[in-house]
Amino acid sequence: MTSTLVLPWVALVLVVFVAGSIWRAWRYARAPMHLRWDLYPVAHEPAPRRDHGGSYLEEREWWTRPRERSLLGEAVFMAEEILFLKGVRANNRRLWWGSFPFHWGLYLLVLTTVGIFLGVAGWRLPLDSGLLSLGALTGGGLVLAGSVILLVLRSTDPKLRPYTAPVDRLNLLFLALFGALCVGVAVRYGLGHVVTVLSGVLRGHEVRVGRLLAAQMAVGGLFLMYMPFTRMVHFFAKYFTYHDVRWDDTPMEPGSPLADRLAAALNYGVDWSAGHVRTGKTWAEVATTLPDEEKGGKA
Amino acid sequence: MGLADLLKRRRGGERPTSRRAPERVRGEEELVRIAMEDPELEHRLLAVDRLGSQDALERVALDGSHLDARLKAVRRITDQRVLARIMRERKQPDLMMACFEGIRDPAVLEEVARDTRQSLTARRIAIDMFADRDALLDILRSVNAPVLRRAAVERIGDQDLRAQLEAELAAHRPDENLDRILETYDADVLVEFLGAFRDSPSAVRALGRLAGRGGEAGEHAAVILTRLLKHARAEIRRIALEGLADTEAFPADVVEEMAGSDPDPEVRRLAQAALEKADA
Amino acid sequence: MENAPRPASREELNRFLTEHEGVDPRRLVPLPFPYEDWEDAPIPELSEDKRSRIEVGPDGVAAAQIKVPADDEERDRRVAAFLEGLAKLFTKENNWTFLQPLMLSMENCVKCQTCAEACPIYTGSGRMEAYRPTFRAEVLRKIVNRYLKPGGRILPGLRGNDVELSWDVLVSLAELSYRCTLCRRCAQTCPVGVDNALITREIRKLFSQELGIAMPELHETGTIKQLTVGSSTGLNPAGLADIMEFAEEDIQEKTGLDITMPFDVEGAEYLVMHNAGEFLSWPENLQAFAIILELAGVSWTLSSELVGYDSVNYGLFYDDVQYSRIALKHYEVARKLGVRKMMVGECGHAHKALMPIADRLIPEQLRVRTESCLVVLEDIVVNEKILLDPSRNDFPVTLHDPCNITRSMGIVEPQRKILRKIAPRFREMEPHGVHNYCCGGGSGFAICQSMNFPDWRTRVSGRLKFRQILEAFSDCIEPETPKYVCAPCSNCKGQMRDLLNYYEAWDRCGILYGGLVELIVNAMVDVREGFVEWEMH
Repeated sequence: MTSTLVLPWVALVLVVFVAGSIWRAWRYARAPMHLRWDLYPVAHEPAPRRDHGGSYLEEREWWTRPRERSLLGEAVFMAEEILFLKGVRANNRRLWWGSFPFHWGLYLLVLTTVGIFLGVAGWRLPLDSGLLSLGALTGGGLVLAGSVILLVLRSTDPKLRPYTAPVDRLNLLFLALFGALCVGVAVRYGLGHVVTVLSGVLRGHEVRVGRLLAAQMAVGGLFLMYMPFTRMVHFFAKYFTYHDVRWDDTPMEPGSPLADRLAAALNYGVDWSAGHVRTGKTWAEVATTLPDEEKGGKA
Repeated sequence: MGLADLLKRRRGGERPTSRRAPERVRGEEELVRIAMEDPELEHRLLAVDRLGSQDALERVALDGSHLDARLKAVRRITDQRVLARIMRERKQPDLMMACFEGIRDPAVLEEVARDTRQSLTARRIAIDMFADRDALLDILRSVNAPVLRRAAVERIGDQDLRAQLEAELAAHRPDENLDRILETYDADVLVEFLGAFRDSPSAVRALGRLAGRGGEAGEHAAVILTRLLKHARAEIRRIALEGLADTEAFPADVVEEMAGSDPDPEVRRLAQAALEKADA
Repeated sequence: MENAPRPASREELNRFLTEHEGVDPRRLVPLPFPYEDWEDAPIPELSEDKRSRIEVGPDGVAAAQIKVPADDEERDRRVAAFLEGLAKLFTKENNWTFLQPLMLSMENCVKCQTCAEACPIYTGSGRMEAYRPTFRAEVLRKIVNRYLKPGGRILPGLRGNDVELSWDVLVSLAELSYRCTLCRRCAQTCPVGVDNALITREIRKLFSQELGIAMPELHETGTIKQLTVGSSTGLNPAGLADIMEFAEEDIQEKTGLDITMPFDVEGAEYLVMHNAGEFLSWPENLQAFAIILELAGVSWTLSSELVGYDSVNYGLFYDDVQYSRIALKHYEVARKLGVRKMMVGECGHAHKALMPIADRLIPEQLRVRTESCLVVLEDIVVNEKILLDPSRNDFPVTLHDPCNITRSMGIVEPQRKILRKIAPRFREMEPHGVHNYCCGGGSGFAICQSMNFPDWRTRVSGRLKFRQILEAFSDCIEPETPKYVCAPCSNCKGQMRDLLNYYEAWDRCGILYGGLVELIVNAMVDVREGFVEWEMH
């Protein structure tokens, strides 16, 4: 690859990845207030209630007591999930053997990428120690190994195979290839070289980009660009599934901003067609009156 | 074991209990705390022994975590109205009996008997413990609990008066509303509900009336009444039998068995009469 | 016997969607002593006459009682209507109530199948593919991706969007949405936070709100009846007040206590909301509440108003419109009476409907504070506000945790504190608390007594719960030792009754069921002994 393509490519990848991710997150964030659908145990409940999955509703006249929330509880839960994939380990050990190295490989590659950008920006990093190279080597190797294990499982395990589409296999192959390329780049060039190439490109220098590095950047870039449009966004969708749904136990107290959101929702028009619904009215109207008496309220 | 558990241990476990023996403790608050919460039995009892004020003893009796210390505290309380108050605030059987051990004043017993915030058992015991006729009659007229009225009647010394009062208590409430209810509501729905109240003589009588009307609801009522022929109470068996007497679903085989072996003579007599009527 | 057959591929998976594969009773999860040799009869198939009028699911069971369309034109019309409704499900105007949770669950499932082993219906059935939590969710996902997303029909095979919509597929999807009790155990184990129970509920909602298809016991004889007559039981408020005289006399004869059921007392501390099914099936539960509250000196009342005396809200299970209507009426009644609080009686779904769900629906001017009866009872029992003798409950007791109260609301300890105080031989089932197994009667299943659905419910959805009960009592399983399954929820009790009857558990093992308040009253010194009657009811 000529170095003239590197910068536009990186820019394109970043724009699409960031914009795509923001768009997906924004869709979730701007969704209207929903009815509560909490699920216990909730991690921010304080001990000892958290130990048995209890909630503030266990307290007599809970509304007269100050609400206690344990941010530490949430942090510990998230850390265990992110670092150890605790839920998968406990409930789906076979899959965990593939998923755990795969995810850790991605974490290491993310850290390595951050290191690269810091290096490009001129920060003094222990490049000489080969830490970044180690990150790329290990991360890439784990992604490769994890992808292969997951690919084998999804192709052979009778529980997983019927729920694995060809595109899912292609996805894993793609990731395995990316992992292999990261290993290749780390071994062939070392990450110091990558930082040098990128720094040179930024400064408008003509630098030679080796074929292996070019392939790694192309594959990695493609992956980052299509990722926001797939279910791989579960890495941030999890924030919403936990904080906005299953841990969303905030009661609507007097003066709460939730009241305004409720008022707005009750004014939405209802379009459902079944006879018992009263199509064309607002939610407030539908909820407070039954259909025509001649219909007897029947569907 | 997860991270949360590791962090929990680092923050510290349970609060350490005081290891100071009660005999060395001087302050009353500390003695109260030991009496209420110390895990060692000996410490708790010793702490109660050393408490001086009735207020402190009352606190231990009310809020102690261990029954032994609470009972000991009660036995050291001399104010009978405090004992009555403890029984009212904390309804615990052993505590209640311990309180009664210390109540002898008839005026306090009468207060307990009349106090609707006391448990019914405490009130009944209080009634049992005093024999003032006028007070008993007054209680009979004023309390709204059959068990207490019965307890009061049993303490009446005058045999004639007692017999009269017992007869009044035994009379069941008339079925004023039965006709109106049977006319107003859907029989099928009524049967479903009435069948649930197997101990209510009025409900069983109502089922009998419904069974007599026939139809699907009547058949259903008859099925329920047939099951009630095996009820533990003779009164219910009698009413069920009366309800089935003139119906098409009359269960002759079951009634025959009742005529021969029911433990209640009146039930046997009714069963026999019903059989004869059915034969005729 | 090995587990049920598995699909080998995606193509074969679709076969499980529409081809009739009945439940094989030999594959149901085995039961422990004394049921090792228990043989389940197959679930009876519907008669030809019924099959000519009513559609069945891919397992041959009918829950929604969907009428067979007259002709192909009607089939096509309904399929088109389904797609219209499916689109509405993803609009904020029509589905603000659950849009965000639905989007998250539909878009982020990584199909790891971690949820499957958590599902009591899937595992209890011997792992029937159609009951796998992701199965019906995945069918819906494929339909959405193929028919609603731009470019969905391009390379559908490659992308896995290979379900072609037809009337048969629709019927299967509707029926399969009634093979999940919405217990949410699957959601608990999902590492991403996807909730297949929610997706199931949304499928039910789509069918109800767009096509008017729903389990009749939930809709026609459930919410509709409740909104028009006053109760799902069919008794109007005036009738209820009259019936209460019999209930009061019944209490007096049974317990020696003169208890009046207070109605419409303005300004009372609590409006107590019972599942009206208790009136019919378990009046001792209502009586027990009355006894406890009266003797504890609590200020309380019932309501005789339309909808006010029946806490059920089956809309929670299948229809947001019906749910909203009933929830609003409940709160209106409480507000009008001027009570300080509502107390939800022993009914799991009423807890959820009246408390967390209603919290985001009821406007400020209608709000009344609401508490669980379990919390109030804990205060009464633990703080010695009634006189109790635990030795009266000297028999083995285990606790069934209603899903809506524990997993969906986090009310776990109060009922345990009560039992530890009043039941000296209390033991837990495993798992319990927020990880409990559903009784198998959740989401309205317990009230469905028509077609062959009850046969499915007792054999399949209740299987793991029955196994749990046997395991909890394994040290005293002989019939000579009467045992009590405490189930503080009306629908759960309905399922317990049917389960214990089906397995003849009273005769074989001496296992009875009942609520929590009955156990409390059984231990009350002020009450004549023997409130719990040891016979199957």
